[in-house]
Amino acid sequence: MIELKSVDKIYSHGEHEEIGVLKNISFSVKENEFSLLTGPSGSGKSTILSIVGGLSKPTNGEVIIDNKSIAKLPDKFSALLRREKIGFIFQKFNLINNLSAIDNITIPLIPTKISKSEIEQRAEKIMTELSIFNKRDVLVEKLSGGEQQRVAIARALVNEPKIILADEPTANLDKKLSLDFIQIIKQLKDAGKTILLASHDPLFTDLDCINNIIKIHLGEIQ
Amino acid sequence: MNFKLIDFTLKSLKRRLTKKLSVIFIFSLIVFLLVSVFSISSSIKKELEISVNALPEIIVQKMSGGRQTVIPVDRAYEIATIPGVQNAYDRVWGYYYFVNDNVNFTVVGLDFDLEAYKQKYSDIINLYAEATDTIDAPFMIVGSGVYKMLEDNFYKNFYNFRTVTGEMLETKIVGSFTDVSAMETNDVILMPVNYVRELFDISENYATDIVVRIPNPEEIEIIKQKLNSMFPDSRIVSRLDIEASYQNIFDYKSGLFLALLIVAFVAFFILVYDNASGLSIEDRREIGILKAVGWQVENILQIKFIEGSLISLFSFFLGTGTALFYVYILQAPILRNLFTGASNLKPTFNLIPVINFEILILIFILTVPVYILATVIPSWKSSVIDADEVMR
Repeated sequence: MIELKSVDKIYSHGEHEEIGVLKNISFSVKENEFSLLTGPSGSGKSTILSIVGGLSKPTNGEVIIDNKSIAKLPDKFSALLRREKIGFIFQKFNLINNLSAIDNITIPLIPTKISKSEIEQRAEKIMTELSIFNKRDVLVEKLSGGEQQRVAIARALVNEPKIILADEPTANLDKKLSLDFIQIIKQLKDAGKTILLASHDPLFTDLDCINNIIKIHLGEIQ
Repeated sequence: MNFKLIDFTLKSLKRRLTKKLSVIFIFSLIVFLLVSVFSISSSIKKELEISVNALPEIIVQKMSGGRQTVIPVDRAYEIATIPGVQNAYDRVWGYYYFVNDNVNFTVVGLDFDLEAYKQKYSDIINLYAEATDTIDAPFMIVGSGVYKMLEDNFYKNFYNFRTVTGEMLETKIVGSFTDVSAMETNDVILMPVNYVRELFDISENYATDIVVRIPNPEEIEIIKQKLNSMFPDSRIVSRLDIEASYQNIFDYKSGLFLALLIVAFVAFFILVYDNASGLSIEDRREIGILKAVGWQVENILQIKFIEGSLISLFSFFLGTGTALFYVYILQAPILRNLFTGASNLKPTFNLIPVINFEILILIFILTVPVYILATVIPSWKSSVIDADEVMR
């Protein structure tokens, strides 16, 4: 489902300064597997998720998603890939603050041909499943951290993706909300999703639903 | 067309309402200034055009000590014999200072200028003829501006003129008139000529000036030269001379408007530059989020295009509508004084509604597409770089 082969990522600052963030990263995540990327802050976990999600291009190497190479995919097609196959859950949720919960959740489907009523039905169904339907029309800036994260999860699921990418999803949550999140992730795995989650939260390392732990340090797999 | 994108754009505008309202206010104000300036300018040009067209080909004025004085009426007969002259007749008219409102009225003796008025104002002629038959006392037909001023000063039926000899001349108001060109007729009072003579103390052998009608425009200059040599004590003024003097005044006043236009355009380009020079961190972050959840660059450009179009079109039509209302309904208070002067010596006149579509299209092209581009281009710049970089 997800495969990285010898991926390097180098950021250039000006003509002479280059910073290598990832070196020779190779791993794969099979369909319906839950893989955990772990390592200290700044080790390159988020960059790997960006590359898998097509938000950023690798400097070298191959990235294969659902049997298609995306490393050199034009921007237009990587956007389509995200819209059709990938749901992103970000560390800081990345919601649009002065929009309501439902408006945030439906954003990924706005450019599609799906009708507005169907989009809303989908969003409401997910909101019910995540117990935030009563916050449907509340501005997200007025929601608690846990509620905001559920809105972010709902947004990641509204396009019915096969792959869920989550970047430090519990970094802004207390322990209770983190455990709630783990329950949601387990349900998503049970629902057949392929999950790649980056976190250095020890709560994840002992989970029995994790198939694979990939340890990253200074941009390399250990 | 994806209506969901329009819906999203409207929501996006709503949540940035304060910022966008200030843009709409500035944009509309600039369009308002531009359209007002050009509308007043077009209207006054039209007024001048009508006024000039109504002028006789030549006017002969007798001068004394460099100032105009009365002219012997028998000169009109002499002038009429010049080949090429269709008609020459003397006019008796003058300015009457209306002390209540601190303005001058132009009092015209109608009998001698009947032909000129017949062509344009048949209803005035009829009214005048009827009054001549029925009233054996001074009477007058007044321009709409004069009528309003007299009415405001409680002179509804008559007005007592004070003649130059100090006598009171009670004059009945028998009617009023308006014309397309208010500048030409607004301050006019038409009276039987004998009462005008009495008012200004002009004897029967003299007139204020002599009007010369020449059907062939090619002959005007030649006849003007002849008149110059026949009457060295006179000033011979052709329609072209008056047109040129009007144009000079107009051109001089245009400089003030040009300054206003420059200010408006500079303000607009500052607005555009501010828009185009870069997005706020919040805007860049939002573009990053949209890309991360699967929006393509073209989707982002579409909403920015819709946003720019909605703001610029709304502001353009708001500014244009307000300007037309300000100029033609409110009669452009303050601004029109720049062109016409703030003189109290003439009654106010109405600006003729002249909508110059070429100018409106020009203002549209110089503002609306420019603003749309200034909205779309910075978003395009942000949306073509990697989404994770945008969000960082």
